[in-house]
Amino acid sequence: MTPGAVPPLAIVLISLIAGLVIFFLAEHQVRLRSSLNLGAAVLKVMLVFAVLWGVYQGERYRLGFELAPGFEFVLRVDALALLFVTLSAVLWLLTTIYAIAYLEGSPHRSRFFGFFSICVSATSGIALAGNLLTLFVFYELLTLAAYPLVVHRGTPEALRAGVSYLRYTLAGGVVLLAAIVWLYSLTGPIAFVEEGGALDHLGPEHDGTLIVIFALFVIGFGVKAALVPLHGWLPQAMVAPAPVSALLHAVAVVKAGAFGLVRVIYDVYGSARVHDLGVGFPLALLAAVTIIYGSLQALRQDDLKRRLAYSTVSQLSYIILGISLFGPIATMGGLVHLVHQGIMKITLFFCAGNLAETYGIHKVSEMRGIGRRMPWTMAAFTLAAFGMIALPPLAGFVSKWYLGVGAVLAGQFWVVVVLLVSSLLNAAYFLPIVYRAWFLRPESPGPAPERHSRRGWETDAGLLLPPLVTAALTLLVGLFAGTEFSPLHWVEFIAQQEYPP
Amino acid sequence: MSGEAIALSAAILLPLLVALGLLRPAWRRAALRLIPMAPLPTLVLAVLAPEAVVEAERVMMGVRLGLDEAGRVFALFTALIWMAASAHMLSSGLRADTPRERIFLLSFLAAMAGNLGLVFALDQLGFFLFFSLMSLSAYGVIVNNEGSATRFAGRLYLGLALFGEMLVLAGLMLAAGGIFGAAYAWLLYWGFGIKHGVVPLHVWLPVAHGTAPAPASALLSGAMLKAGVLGWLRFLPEAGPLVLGELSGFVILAGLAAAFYGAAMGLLQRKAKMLLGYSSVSQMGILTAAVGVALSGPERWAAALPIILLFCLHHGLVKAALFLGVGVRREGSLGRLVYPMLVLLSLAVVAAPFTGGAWVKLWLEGLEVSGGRSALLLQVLPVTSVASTLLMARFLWLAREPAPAHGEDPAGAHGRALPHLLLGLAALAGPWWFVAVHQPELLHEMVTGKVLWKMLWPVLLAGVPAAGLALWAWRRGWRMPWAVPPGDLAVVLAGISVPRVRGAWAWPAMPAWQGWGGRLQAMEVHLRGLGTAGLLYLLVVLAIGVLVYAF
Repeated sequence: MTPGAVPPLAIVLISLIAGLVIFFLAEHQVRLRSSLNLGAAVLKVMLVFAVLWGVYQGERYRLGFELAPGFEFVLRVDALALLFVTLSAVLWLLTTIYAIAYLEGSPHRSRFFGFFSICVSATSGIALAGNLLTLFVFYELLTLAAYPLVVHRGTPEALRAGVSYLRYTLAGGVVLLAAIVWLYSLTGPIAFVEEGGALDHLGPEHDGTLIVIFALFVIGFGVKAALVPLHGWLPQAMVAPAPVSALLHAVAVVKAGAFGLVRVIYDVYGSARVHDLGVGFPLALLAAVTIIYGSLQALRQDDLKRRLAYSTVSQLSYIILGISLFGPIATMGGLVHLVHQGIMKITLFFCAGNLAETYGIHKVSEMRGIGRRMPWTMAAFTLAAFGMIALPPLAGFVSKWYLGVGAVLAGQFWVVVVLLVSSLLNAAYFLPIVYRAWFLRPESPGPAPERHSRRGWETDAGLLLPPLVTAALTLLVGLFAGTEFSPLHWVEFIAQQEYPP
Repeated sequence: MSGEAIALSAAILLPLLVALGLLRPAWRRAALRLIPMAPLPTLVLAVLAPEAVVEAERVMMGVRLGLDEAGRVFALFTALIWMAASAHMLSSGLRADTPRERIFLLSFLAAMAGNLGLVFALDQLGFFLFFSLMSLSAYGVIVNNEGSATRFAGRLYLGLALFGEMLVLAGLMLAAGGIFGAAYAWLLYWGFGIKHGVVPLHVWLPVAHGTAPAPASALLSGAMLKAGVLGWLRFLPEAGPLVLGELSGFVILAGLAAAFYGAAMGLLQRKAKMLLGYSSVSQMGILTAAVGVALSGPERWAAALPIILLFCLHHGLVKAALFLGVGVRREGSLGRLVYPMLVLLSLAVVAAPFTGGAWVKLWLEGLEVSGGRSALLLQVLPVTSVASTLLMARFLWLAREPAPAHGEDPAGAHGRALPHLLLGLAALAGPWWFVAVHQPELLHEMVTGKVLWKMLWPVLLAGVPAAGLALWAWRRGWRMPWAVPPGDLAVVLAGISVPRVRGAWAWPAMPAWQGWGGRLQAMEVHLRGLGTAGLLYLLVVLAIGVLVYAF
């Protein structure tokens, strides 16, 4: 094994090993489990940043070996992989801190954290996969590892949600496999090619087949990316505990779907090919329908987490919209939203979890005056919600700006209308929450807090810290989008690779 | 970082720092006292700052700050109004003790940062950033209690403000994509225009002005309303003379329509502050028409720009002082001066001789225009003065007693007279200074009898009968038998007949999403079944397809 092979393997294995070890810990070994969890998460973040530094210095990392004839298992680090793996590593660390505090004293924690770690490992695998089959292996691993998390509570509702989740995602997985097999039967085993896709050697006589395969990819990945009408599982899955929802909606499951589509469009087909085949436009249309439909559904939800879930349906399709439009600016908008949506949505779910854990508040209608009792939590929530509405200078605005300008450059003016209508709808379902929380007097006497912090904070420090960090990030990545360390700068680099000037 | 960069950032960030200070109980008192001082750096910059442009490439996608010709005038009156309104607010006994008051103050300071920031923002994105910060925060300044009228006002305001922002954003996206056509100009016209009430999107304006506490109304109509004008002035020219020339005629007509419509609706109001809101619609209509004239050609633009700036300076200060005056205690030696000041300010609005309004109209008439809609504006100008005189006469009638104070609202209590009087003096003197610097020959012209009479007759034409009517009404105890609900069109469009409960309007809850919920629910359930079924079906087809293909 070459030295360049170690980092990608280590990034995937750290969380996998941590997860496997945690399975064998007894329920009461809290301290050992927590240190293992946190240790692995911190180690992973450090490793990812070391790799980032290395790539910046011109190092290249790749691990590949043949698993079966024609099936090469490849992990490698490219700019796109780094974008996703950095996001997942950082948010995993925060979610781990949050989850430890959230699940304090509840049963089955070893099972939970075991699968939790495997999920993250699978996500890293998806990010680093160097070809479609490797990606598929991790994709399915993620499907299965997330199931125990969704049904963690074991209530009938959770089990129902779990069945629905499996039905959708497994079926999607099969379609995906079919698409991959079909494509391989045309081309032979192909790796991801960053500049211009991997299908150059296929002549125009295959165009019809390629279009059908593309549709299969969209369906296969679209299930996890919650494209309407394949989104049904996502709002149900919000019965999972808050940290799971946070991870599910921000990094792991739904992002895997979107990320898969990114890989297919840029590194398999190549954006020029997608453009020539004419499949970008229908995909953009589908994304637009999803954006509006998800927002409309979110409007009528009183359950806070359910409202957030529909919001995810809507926001994820920004990514799809960005990558389905032809041109570097729209690409930047889509890709940067991969990161921005993650940061904002994880904040919102953290905050929803805080409300539920501290005061037993699950519904929007119960949130009167909660800003006075939990000012920090609600401040974080407000910031993230404003980001979702795309108010400048927050993260969501940067995404939307690039999407809109990209659409104008691509000549697709209707996309601008969709984006702005979506902003208004976002305002219509987020602002009433903000209004209730800050402007209305709380009911007296309000609910008694169920959890207390030892230091007189509004809730447990472990629950409060992560949303504050991600809310601050929501502001910083937007306000300082022009600096060298911003996600925007990184996706600009990726877009330049895809569309050489 | 250069000295200019530090000074500009300090001017914009100071209100936010004060807001942070309010969050800490120990610093609260000191921070509260600092609020009226927060716009001071902006004022100093407006007077002293050199022409410097600061590029902040790392903020967002790059922001450019500085002071242009328009910005300097805007900085001046914006800072003055914010200082006076803050002083008024503190003198009304506002403390930061209750959560409600803190929300109000935080919104107040955030809106201040946005309003001061946009004055310095020379590029589109930066302007949009501060513009939306101001618009959104202003909600917290308007909505200061849980009453139904306030909620209605707040929703109407926020809905239209966000809508306007989206229009602007669409325009900016087009521009960033290199498209500066008619669409760009129209989007900016409506998007920024909502802020100062282009008819028919003016409906939020009187309602919000009428329900907000006095200092908030002063800010809204004096300072924040002008932000939309600044947006026009800075970014409309980029559309190019050809596009703007086509827009010009419409803008003039729309402006004149607003001028008369606003005056008519305002006359039929029962509350002084609602009426002042309509007066703003009307005055901004005249301003819009003036902008329309400026749009008709590049040399016209250069000639009309200083007039527009004078108009903003004059109307901003006067209207803010009027609003403050409605919410002032009229006791003590200074208190007795409040009503005379209101009379003087009203005279300024109606363009009586030697007031800012008169300078504006005189200067406008001096523009060399030939035929077309621009000439129409000049012919109609005296008539607008007649309409304004009627309107302001009714205002003085309604304002003969101070409006009832809402002691339980933050900043709802009556303030002291001093900030109002000082701002009023600034409002009366400011235009003199501006004219003396930019167009001194107007000063000579005014004292000649012909010009004096030209300015005077519209005021007398409407003022004398109005005074007679007032005298008669006062003797007989007569009241206007009916009135128009503030927000005229919106209230009608909300589809709700507005019942009057003992002279007060009962406010409708906006019809939200009723009726939609059920249909959406059904759709979602349907899709859930369809999704699964569809997937399974596809699987079968696929399996067969793959098998056939492989063998």
